Amino acid sequence: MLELHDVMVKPLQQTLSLTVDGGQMVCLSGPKGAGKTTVLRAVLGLQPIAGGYISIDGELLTPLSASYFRKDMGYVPTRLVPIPGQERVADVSRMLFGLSENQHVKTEETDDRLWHELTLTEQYLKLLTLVTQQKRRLFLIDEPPMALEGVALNAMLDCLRELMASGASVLMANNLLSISYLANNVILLK
Amino acid sequence: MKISSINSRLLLPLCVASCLMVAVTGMIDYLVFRWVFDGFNPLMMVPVLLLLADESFVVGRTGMLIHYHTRHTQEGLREFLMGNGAKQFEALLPYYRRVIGRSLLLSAWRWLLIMLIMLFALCFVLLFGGLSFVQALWLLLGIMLSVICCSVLSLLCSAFLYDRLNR
Repeated sequence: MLELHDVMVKPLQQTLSLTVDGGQMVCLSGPKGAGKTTVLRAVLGLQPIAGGYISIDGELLTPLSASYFRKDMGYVPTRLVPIPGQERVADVSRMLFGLSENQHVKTEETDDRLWHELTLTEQYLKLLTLVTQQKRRLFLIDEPPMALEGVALNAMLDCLRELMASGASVLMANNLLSISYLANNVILLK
Repeated sequence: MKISSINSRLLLPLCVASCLMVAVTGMIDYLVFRWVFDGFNPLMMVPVLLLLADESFVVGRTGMLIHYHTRHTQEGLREFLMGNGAKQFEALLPYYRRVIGRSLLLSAWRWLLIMLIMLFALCFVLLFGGLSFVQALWLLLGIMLSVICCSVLSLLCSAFLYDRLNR
């Protein structure tokens, strides 16, 4: 269970409190620059918080303990720019599943296209697919780079439903109403 | 960014790593050469050490600028990997791979030039200094190998120190 209690982090205008239980999804909504991604980064321990606390399963998340908690998290950024020379989809997959935490995940990515040959939506969905193949208990999903519709939206919704059915907690930055319908709680950041 | 515009945040790790690696590689070279060649004159180590220092600094400087630029323009990848449970070193491995690949590619021609000109000149000096041709050839290969090892290690060590100092 993820809990944020009176968390103060720039650029949030006010403190933020929320709880995400297993099998639940909470959406963070708000305009650009409201601090949706910053909150996700704070939960990852990549952004220091100015007040309040973040706890996972009752244990406090601190800069020192963050790396321990991250072993049980999956993170989908809005956009990923691979390093030149390691730009194939298969390279990105190899980087992710080559991590010591993912040695047990059996996967084979044969997509030989360059990452930038994919559209932004395709890149995002590919990241979502790759990250959710990891067996994690908490997923932090940043908002899609553009409004999803049709097949892409359905794929995203199916993926989120599967995650929630598997008992994982999902904290997502999102402004799409069709995705917010799935959420147990929607928090509007001003 | 121009190669000449190296700043102090890059200079400290580069200098520390270069000095350390030149000392270690130079010591190993000296011990090996003294063991292989009878009557090896320690003064012969002076050009070898100068060559090691020059190469490790030049390759390190090029590499550090590439590393600095990649870290600042592609920071998202590190966060992506760390967010998915990577340890600090694992998240930086793609950056190290990039810097090693690029630096070696840029340095290959330079090393070839050194091999062809500077070290052949050194060989002639050694031949006149009493070493046989085979011995001088082995010495040349030994020096070239140590230059490459020293440069790569110095580069890796600089990048590693830079990342540790700027966490």
